[in-house]
Amino acid sequence: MANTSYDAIIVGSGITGGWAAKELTEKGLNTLVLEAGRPIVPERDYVEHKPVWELKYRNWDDRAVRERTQHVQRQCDYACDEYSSKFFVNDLENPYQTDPGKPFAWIRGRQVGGKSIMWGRQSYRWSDLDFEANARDGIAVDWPIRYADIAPWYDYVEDFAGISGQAEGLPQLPDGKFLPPMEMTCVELDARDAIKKHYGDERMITIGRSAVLTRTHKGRAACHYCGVCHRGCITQSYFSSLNSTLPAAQKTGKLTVRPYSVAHSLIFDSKSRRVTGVRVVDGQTKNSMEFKGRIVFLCAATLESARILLNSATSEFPNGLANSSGELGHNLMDHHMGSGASGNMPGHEEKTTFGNRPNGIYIPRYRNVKTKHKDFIRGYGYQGGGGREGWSRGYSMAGIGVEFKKALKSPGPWGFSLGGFGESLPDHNNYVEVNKDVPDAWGIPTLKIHYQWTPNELAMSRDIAVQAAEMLAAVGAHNIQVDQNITPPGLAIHEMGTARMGRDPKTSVLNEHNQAHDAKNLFVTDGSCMTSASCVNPSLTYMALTARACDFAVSQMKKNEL
Amino acid sequence: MLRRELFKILGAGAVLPVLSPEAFAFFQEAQPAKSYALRTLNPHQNETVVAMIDQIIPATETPGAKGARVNEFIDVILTEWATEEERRNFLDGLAGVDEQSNTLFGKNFVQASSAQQIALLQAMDDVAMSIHYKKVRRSTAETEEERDPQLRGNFFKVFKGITVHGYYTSEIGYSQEMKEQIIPGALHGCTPVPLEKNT
Repeated sequence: MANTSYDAIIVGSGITGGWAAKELTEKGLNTLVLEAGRPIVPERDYVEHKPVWELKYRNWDDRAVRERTQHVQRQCDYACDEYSSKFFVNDLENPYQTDPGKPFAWIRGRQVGGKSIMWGRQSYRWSDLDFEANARDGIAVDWPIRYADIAPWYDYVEDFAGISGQAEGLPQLPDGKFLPPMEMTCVELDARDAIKKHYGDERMITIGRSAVLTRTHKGRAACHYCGVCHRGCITQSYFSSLNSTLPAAQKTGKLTVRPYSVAHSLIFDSKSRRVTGVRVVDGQTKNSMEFKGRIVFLCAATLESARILLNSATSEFPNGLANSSGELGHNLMDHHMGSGASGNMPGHEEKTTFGNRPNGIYIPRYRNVKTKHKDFIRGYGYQGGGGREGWSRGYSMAGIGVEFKKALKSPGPWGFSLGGFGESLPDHNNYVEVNKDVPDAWGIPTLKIHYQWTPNELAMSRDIAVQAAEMLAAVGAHNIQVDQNITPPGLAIHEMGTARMGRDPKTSVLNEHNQAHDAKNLFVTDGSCMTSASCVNPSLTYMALTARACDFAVSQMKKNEL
Repeated sequence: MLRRELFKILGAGAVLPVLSPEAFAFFQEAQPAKSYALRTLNPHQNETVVAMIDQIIPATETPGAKGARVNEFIDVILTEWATEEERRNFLDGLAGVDEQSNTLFGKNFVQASSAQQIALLQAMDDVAMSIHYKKVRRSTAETEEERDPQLRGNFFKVFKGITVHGYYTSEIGYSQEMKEQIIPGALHGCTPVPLEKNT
């Protein structure tokens, strides 16, 4: 019979589960990773070099099937396409509910590697502007940590993951240990200079900081610029659990990964005040089983981890395990996006780009950094970039025949676009609850998600559009189109906050080490731990918090504290 | 060629990631079927489609849309992808091309001279390209029609769109005409336009 007892159990194999696996096994723990989805064999499942003409619908996708089985997932339009929709869940098997008129797009990946296969790879450090935000604004609860607590762990995870970028010395966006930056395009360089001239020190353009290797690093090859990372990467040139952390964990000989293991709930022993294991439904046979562990790391992603804890209710914790505070499932946040602007850039007719850069430019936050904005608190950053239009302009370009074909062979006009990512506020009224009446395909109660943008996000979203247009005008763009629009929450896929960290067990679920206040051997290190949202992409912070929590957990085990 | 490219890149690195022979199998399998039997377009409709795509993207020093068999892609889309309404609109639009051709030239489109065909298509293009279509991202689209708008709206806009898409996503369009590489192997942000693309 297979072993069912381990030193550590990790639920989830995505970005944080992969890190927990690496750290705990390297520290000597016999570790089980439970992954709800199927195994991934890169040689078989990665499709980044498959030519588009080999796709039946030439990447228009199998529309009828997708509308039926992935109507939510396909809203993730940068990645859930004819190539990569297989890395997203089947919505029929994984239902959830929302309130009428209040959509929430829950984008999920269930397979070994989780969403780390399709993530956007943008990797930014938080600063004390973020960690002090709640205390400064008197909102929600204070973060129990500051930048100094996490800085060495940013160093640690960046050193392993490999982040390319440019050091800029900004207090609101601390520099990391960067691999060489990717090159900017002709018009991005122009825009960078023009922004500096126009806005002085207030605003700037830097190259995106990306978990893509610009040179060989720790046994992984440099990027070859095929440009479609979200389809997999046979040369392991971007960071994912499959490409990086899980192979490292495998090397220790201490790792067991069990795919098709849908976590149902955690088992809590009220006498010892400890979590003793995980109840699992086998994804294929649908049989129930249990695995025992001395410590448990929940790394199932923000909403899944909240769901597992809510489904782990006991008589002592009728509203969900580790929920004596009543905050479990609450304070859900996602970045808001959708506002921005685009235009055409003059000049450089004789220049173009070569290679498909899996990265863009970044405009770091400038609102409420030095001065206070009258309409909203917190801030936003922009992602975007400038390049020449390709053949697809032919859909709407006048002409037919030889001249038309000849025109499309040469690169089109230079375009430039900016899209904002804004911080959202933690709000107790944005929350999830378990809906026992609607089970998923494995019989596990599902979530009902209640989420609505607050007035602060709506005000910020307007400013994002206006300022994007103003900056494009300042850099000399013409034909400027303004997008003022806020996407449904969830679509930034930066959902976080459902089991927040805090100093006080009465108002938070986790302490400063991602350890549950109510169960000392339970750690939650995915996005659910976040106390506020910042405006920068959160995955690097999840990685650092996970490595830090693993270090703490093992040191406590050695002291027999766990 | 892809295989050689990949080896070139790997050879340039200090380390060899794990690559099994199966990784390369991708590059050899899944060639398009040598012969494709039409399922929606009847012979006359197909001849009309072929004549139209041949005028929109003709053969030059590289094959055009006819050589890239874009008519077969159109048939696949009409058969398996289009809704019933979209398929009907497309075929009605195609019949409309013959109607106009008969009104103007007294014969079906395929029988018209090349100059007549070009004149008619150019007139249709002038109308189609003057209509402004709002770009809707799938993430913000609210209806199925908005999420997949390719076959919606003005017939010639639809026809030209599917022709352009089918051609430039074919091996001929991608590799021969555009000289694109799946694995560029390098990144240059601001570099001269290659001579062959400087048209």
